[in-house]
Amino acid sequence: MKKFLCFVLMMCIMGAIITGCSGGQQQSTQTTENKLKIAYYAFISEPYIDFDPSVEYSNGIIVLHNIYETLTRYDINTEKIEPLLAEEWTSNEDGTVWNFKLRQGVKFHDGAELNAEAVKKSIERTMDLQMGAAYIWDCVDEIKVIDDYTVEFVLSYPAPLDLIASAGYAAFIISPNAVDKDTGWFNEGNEAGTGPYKVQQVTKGEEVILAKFDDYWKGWSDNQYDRVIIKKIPESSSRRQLVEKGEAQITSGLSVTDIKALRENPAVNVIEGPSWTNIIGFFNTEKKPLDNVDFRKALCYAFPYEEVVSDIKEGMAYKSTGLIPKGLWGHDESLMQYETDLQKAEEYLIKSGVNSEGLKLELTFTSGTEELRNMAQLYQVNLKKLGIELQIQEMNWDNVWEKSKNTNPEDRQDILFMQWWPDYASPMSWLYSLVYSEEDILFNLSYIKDENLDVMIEEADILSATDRVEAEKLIVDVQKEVLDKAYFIHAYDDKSVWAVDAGFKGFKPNPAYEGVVFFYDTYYE
Amino acid sequence: MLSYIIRRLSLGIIVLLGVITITFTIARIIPSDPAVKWAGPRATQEQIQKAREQLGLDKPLIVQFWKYLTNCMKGDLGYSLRTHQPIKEELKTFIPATLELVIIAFIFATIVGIPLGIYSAKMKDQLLDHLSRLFSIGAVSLPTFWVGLFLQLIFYNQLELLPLGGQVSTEIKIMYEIPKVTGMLLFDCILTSNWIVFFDALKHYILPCFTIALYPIGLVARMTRSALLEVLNEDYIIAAKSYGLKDRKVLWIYALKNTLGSTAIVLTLSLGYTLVDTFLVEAIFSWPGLGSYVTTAVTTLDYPAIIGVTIFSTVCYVILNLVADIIIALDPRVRL
Repeated sequence: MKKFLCFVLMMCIMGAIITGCSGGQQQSTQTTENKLKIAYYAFISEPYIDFDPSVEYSNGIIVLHNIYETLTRYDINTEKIEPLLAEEWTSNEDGTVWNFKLRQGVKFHDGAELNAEAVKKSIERTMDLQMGAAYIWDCVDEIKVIDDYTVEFVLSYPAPLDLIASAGYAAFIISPNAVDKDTGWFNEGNEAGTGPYKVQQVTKGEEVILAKFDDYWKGWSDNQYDRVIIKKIPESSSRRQLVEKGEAQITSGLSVTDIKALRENPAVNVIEGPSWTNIIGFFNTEKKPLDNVDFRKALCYAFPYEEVVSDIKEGMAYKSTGLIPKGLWGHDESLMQYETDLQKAEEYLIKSGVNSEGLKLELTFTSGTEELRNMAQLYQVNLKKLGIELQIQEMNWDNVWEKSKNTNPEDRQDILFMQWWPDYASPMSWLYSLVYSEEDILFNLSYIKDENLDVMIEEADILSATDRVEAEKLIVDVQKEVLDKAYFIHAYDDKSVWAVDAGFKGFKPNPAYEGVVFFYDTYYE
Repeated sequence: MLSYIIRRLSLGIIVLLGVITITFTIARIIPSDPAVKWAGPRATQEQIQKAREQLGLDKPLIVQFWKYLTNCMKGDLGYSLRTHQPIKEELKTFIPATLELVIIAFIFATIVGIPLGIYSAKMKDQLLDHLSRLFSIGAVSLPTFWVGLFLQLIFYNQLELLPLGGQVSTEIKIMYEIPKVTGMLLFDCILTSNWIVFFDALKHYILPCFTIALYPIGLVARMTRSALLEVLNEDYIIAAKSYGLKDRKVLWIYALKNTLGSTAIVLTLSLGYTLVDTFLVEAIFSWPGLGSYVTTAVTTLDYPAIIGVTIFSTVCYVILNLVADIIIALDPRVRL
């Protein structure tokens, strides 16, 4: 009896702790709600790797774009580069000298004022460190301070500096008081930006809490968020539960099953948009029989495009049209696209003269992506119908890349699948990195060496700085040539899919800044 | 006794050296260029070359290994290829949260597992014994990740009693200062008498601690039960009973004493297993500990970080084994 009473007493104490704590939390939330409005972003991974805005080349942009600002920004609504810290800009005729007129009255979080000197020092700091995406400034020869609010960039070759200045990485403007600080200072959780939010608390590898910057140059309205929490929640099911319960306002990277379930929930909105990330299959054109254009065409016609988009991605992707993804300038819906047509594949196979009997092809991709695995298996089934055995090799990216860079083409893979996305709102990233001839293999993993294409790409690049309409025409021509030579399998353009609380308004995914939520643009309802 | 401990300790150091050598060699054999990782995903050849020189990768392997080993002795574990931060500092950030979780789970496993085993042995073949054995088998065999997700579904999603994950509620983090003394949150809250944060954190600890403790509870309960049943059949116990000593006294004083050694060894060794098990649980409960750190390090092939965590785990295992050896040595029968 005594033992039973002890047991009951213990259970009562435990219960009191749990319910007491829960009650306490509710009370605390209510008190907080009266004072502060909090937006909670449940993020799939660590909120940042390096807190130095000149160095970070990973997840960190989701935090940094709310703390720091760039000279220009790609606007998803106008689909153009719009002013941010720079009010206006001009360039000379050949796109080698760029003048940016800065906004006046902009303050950094440490009280310093934005001026031309701050811009010059920020960009020079990034260029000197040569880390992360610093190479985007490779075209810059000199940065001159013309007056307090005018900064001039002198380039060594024509480049679209307005686009570069809007980059997701390596284009942040830092306070003059912080430009001389080393990376360690930033990684202690310090910052010095002009953005709408400043850092309140940083838990490395886990969470960042941001607080509204009262002196933000755009000003504030009542229904904007006072605090922003960006927290790592690796499990898809956990992120889904947090949004379902209204604890988190926004999340992404959910599994197809979770997204399907959330679509049925009226308290949650599922928002979709283009992501500027596409999945591309690279043919080893330096190895037989893939050096044969007709054989490559046969392989293109055998790929299960529709099934991948509708069955594997469950509609959360667009069928690719050309190399440049949907939503980015240079993308052309009217371009020819390969369809799944096994009869045509058979015809091209015969035309190529390649004997498919007993033919084995090796396909590699980075492990851990279920969608790519399923896609490869579907492709394997289709190729089997042509008598080709597809051997699927799922490896760590380092191993995939190492194999693809082997000096002997025979030791490389036959087909490699990977995703590509740009550093800033320009299609040149695809053309220069994936198509332009390379001496040392880096990302031209179809090993294309085509002088004609190289000339077209160089011309398009120069034009992108001076005449974007003409540049776009040339970029479309490059894609036509690439499609005709069947260098790639254009598998699909990914969609950016988000789950947001129904009361969280103003959010629109911006493909130029993947994963970034510009919290200043959002509000509660 | 001292020479025995010194002998075991020397063996531990040899094990540690072996682990460092093997992990370092594996890290260098696997086709992956640390300089490429250091320089970033789209680095130019110049950036990669600069990184190679900076990391000393342009030197012969044996020179690299010797430098690594001598640096290890000084406590310098190198830099993370991904974050570019010193591994030592990163481990200092993440270890306390994991250790606290493991220690609490260990205490929980001890106070639940041992009594469960005792009562199970005492009531052999009765209902409580059957239930206890069923629970123990379940606790040992159920996958940790499943238990974690299941508990989240019940206590967060359905009952709304406990939080989904993390160490403290976000509101509490924003409104109150989170104490940072040792890095072990509950302990720090007690030290600074920060009771609001303490009770909020306590609620966050329940599910991950229970998930981690489940395996050692099952193991310890089974171990205690079988050891006790064996002892209860010994002649001296039968003699004690025939002298008319009370059952409770025979069980708790005479029988239990002789089973504690083996139970303590199992508990100690299961602590090592728990440490590794925690890595998975942390991912499920978004715990800011070593688990999340090592998971990212493994998936991104951040070798210095992987080696750093491996060394830490090995040191823990060596220490725990040493403790187990000392427990064995404390038994006078071993010394005979």
